[in-house]
Amino acid sequence: MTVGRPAPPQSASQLIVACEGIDDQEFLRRMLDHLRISERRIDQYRGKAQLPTYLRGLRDSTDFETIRVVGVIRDGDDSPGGAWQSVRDLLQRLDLPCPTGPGTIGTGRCGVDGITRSIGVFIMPDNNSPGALEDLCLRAVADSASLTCVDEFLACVAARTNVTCRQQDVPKARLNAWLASRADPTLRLGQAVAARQLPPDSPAFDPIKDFLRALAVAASEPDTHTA
Amino acid sequence: MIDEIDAGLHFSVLPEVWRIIVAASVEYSVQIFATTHSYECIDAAVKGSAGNDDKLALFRLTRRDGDIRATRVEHEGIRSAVDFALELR
Repeated sequence: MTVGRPAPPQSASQLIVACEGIDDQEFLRRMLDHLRISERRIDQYRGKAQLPTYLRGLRDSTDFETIRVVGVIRDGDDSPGGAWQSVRDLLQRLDLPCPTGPGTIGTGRCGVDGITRSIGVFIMPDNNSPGALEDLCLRAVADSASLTCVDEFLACVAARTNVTCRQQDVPKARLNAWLASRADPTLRLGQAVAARQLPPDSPAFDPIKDFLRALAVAASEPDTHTA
Repeated sequence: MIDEIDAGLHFSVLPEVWRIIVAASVEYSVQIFATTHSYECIDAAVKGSAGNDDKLALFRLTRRDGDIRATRVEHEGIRSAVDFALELR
């Protein structure tokens, strides 16, 4: 047993956004703040392998009784289509409403109470391309001259030390090096959004912002559920 | 029937209490009904029933529209919710 375990979160939020890890959570928190969507909760499911456990637990928890909208955000990694299919199959297996495609929201009765809820799925970075949150953020700063310096720096390190990261981690390396090159090099990804080093108004963020807005609209609609 | 099964017990012994209870219920083919308001007790029940995953279920009693309704949660749902510190009471 975990000694000193904190009490489980008590939430009356009707909207939950579920994401993979701490950076995604911080990014989404700042982006939701930017969009002035304050009535929400952001959960981490600790990586895609844990998403089934998280969603099953959420569905069966007391928390679910107050929830009307769930946004599931997953990295596309090297197969955005496969990531979408994986989430879709999971939602169907758990008898949860399933959207018709990534970036959209599905609605239906679910849970032991049979209440109407909506579930949306967003596959990072844009529902179509391979990648993750870092790829999305790099698009927002694609015009930054510093990115050229970052790439030269990483190439130099690789040439001199034989230290190279895995191909799928290159965007993380580029973004972290870019963040470290700012006037305030201490800011992490989410903080950089709040400080507008990563400009939240960049068109690169439009797809995720549209998705978050759609979730908030669904959560604010009159509660027409009946058990 | 064990009412408020965790009453008077330190939380650190609860997993062992549950392990013994589950083992006894299996050995003697008896069904145990236990009540609690304690999240730590639910957590302990999951740990104490490890290896007997199909032996544990949770019934949550909720008052709604003037009625008290029982919701059954299977072991996998209990374990999943506890793993993410989601509320089950």
